[in-house]
Amino acid sequence: MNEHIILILDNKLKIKYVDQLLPKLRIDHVDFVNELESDFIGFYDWLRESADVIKGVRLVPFDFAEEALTQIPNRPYMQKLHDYGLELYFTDEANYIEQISCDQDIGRTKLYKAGASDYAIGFDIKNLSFDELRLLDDLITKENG
Amino acid sequence: MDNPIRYIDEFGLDTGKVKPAPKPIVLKEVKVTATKAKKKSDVDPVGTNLFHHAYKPAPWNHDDCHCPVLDQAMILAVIIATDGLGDFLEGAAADESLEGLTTEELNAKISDSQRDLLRDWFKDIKNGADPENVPEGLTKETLKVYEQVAKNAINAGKDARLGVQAQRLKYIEKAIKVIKK
Repeated sequence: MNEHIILILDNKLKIKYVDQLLPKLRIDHVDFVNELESDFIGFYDWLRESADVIKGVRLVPFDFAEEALTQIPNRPYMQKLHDYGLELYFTDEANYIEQISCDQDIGRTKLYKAGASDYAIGFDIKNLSFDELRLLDDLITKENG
Repeated sequence: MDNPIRYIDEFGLDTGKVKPAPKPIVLKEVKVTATKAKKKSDVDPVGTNLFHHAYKPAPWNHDDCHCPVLDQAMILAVIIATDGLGDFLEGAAADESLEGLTTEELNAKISDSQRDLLRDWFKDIKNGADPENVPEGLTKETLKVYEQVAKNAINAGKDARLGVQAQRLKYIEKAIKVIKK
């Protein structure tokens, strides 16, 4: 069972499963290296459009991760928040309901970098419900063709 | 000639009258019970809320003791006069040591297994569980460290949107009392 996803912050968002958030990851022939030592860089919320339907994720970084996150280039599926938070939307319609999107999960989160400006962020998905995982899996399968 | 003055024993001095013997005193055993008075508010204008400080001492060197009457030296004196001194000193020392740490250092103090327990506990509470149902193995030390992480997030303005960390502080306060027992 996959316990983590990694979001590759390319021009188009790519979502992949990974077993572990190791310090180095090779994804689609690209070598990503951890940008920060920590594997707990902030709280995160799954952005839900309705019960079980996840449309994105919001990372609320700790102070030590703020600077690194500001280096990530802006992308169309991304919104940088005033408190250094970062919202990443999995679909074009990025509507979500705040009241059901307040996990503040404390699972593993890791920031990676490849080359000069390619970034990826890994998230622990163990706390998602079965239905949430199933729908997320449908999305990932569709995205990856 | 008869005496016109009537005899009246006004002060009961006539020993010729026999008074009834007093009933013997019988001691009865009674059960004394007490209930905790409901706290009406945090305001204690006459300083009667000493037990608040005795049982749950506010850190004497912090600003968050709102007692309007007792100053910090008096609070310390009350704590010393009670059995709470050991816990007080231990708690104050732990709080002091955690406050000086960065968030990264605090995170490093929480092991993966403790973080998983903490995570499960938060998830259970979100699903309706009682916060006092603390998972077996989750330690008071971990709760104290997380408490500081949450406080840092709140102080940095990162909890303003959701208020989740502020709510977790309340859960932690309850849980620490349970673990202490």
